[in-house]
Amino acid sequence: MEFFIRKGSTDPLLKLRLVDDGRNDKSSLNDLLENSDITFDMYEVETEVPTILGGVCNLTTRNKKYDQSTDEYYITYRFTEDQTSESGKYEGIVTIQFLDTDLLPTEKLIVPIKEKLFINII
Amino acid sequence: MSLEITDFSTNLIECSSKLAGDCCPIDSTLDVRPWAYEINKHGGTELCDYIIKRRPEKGWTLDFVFNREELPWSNGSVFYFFGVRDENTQSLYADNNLSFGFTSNGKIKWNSYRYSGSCVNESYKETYYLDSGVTPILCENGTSKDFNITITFDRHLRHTECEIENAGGWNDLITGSTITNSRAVTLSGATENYQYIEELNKDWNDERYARLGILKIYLNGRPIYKIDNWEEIIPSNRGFQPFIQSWGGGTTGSGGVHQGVTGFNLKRIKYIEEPLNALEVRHHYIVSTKPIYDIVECQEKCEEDNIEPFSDDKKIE
Repeated sequence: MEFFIRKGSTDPLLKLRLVDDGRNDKSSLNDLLENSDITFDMYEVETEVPTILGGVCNLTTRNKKYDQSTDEYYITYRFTEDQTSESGKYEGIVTIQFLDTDLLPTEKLIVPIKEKLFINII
Repeated sequence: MSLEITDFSTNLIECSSKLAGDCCPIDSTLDVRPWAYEINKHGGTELCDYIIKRRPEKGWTLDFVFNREELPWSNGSVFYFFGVRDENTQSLYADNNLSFGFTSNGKIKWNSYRYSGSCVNESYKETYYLDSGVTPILCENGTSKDFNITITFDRHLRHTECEIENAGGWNDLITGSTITNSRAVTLSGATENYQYIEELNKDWNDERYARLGILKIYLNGRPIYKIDNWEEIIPSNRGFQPFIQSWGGGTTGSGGVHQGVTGFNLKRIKYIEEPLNALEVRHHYIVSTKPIYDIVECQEKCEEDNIEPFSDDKKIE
């Protein structure tokens, strides 16, 4: 998975959407996402030097076409100018730390799962 | 429409400027507790416009900011009630009452007396039952100073226009009507005024599906409780004093399950005629609640601050 962004730019927004393959119950994952801390880490591919650690991600949703349909959540991260100041190829990792009702950490999910996310600063 | 009261020092409606005469029975001072009023008697040509919708299109949101003032949870008691006041006849208060309150062990409990019915031996049999639920124990840190409770109801179906009163709405309760004019007016040929009789019946029970949705409770912008297929309360014209919205306390009647007045300090109340989703609740908390009130999170994040950069003389060569 490749994401491209210009050097020194804050746009476009990095946006990840949950895969809705019909095999998983999306609504229960949504419930978990609503009470979670989501962070973004980025490493330079060649040197494995981290350039972003624990960047705070946001959760967004899109307007539903039908009221009855389940909410569709997106995880978003906006880069700062500093974070895109060096050209190169980086690997991005999003960590979802699920919380209980006391806000104590429970399970952790690292995405994307099936393929790597590469950030290309050009 | 939304309603917001802060510090309990603001009048909801200024009688003198916006409403005429005796149409404004809202308590003028808000330091009374519970602060209760009839939602169906506030202005309009017949002094009977609803101050809040009898049934919103999709759902509603309640938002509170409390401070326990170091009181034990047992002083929390009922903090919100909606429905009929002081009514003791089951068929009049059933499906016409709802309250939220704190339990003595630090949970939030909702109570509602419900109506149901089923066909037994080819005849319709009515039943009544108490429906209730509790959240997990509210975290200690998060409720140590000011804390924000948000409650949302999101109906599965959005009802618009005539669906509001017909799809599981109060028209299903109507079993007849009476003419309210005097006989002289009726005989004169003038237009008669009708008052509709609302009663629980099979039609109402059959359309229950159109009143179901999701009830969610949030503490400091984070979800702590969710129940699906929860039946909304549509206030109906049954009982001693229907259409009551009460803040800071409950009421007598309804089998005594809504009795009590909260001893906690109520710093802000809001009622919104839309169900906020989880992201909107969180956003509202971050933008409109957290910066204004003295809130401690359930688990404060361990973040280092005031980290000074190494000066040259402290560097290790």
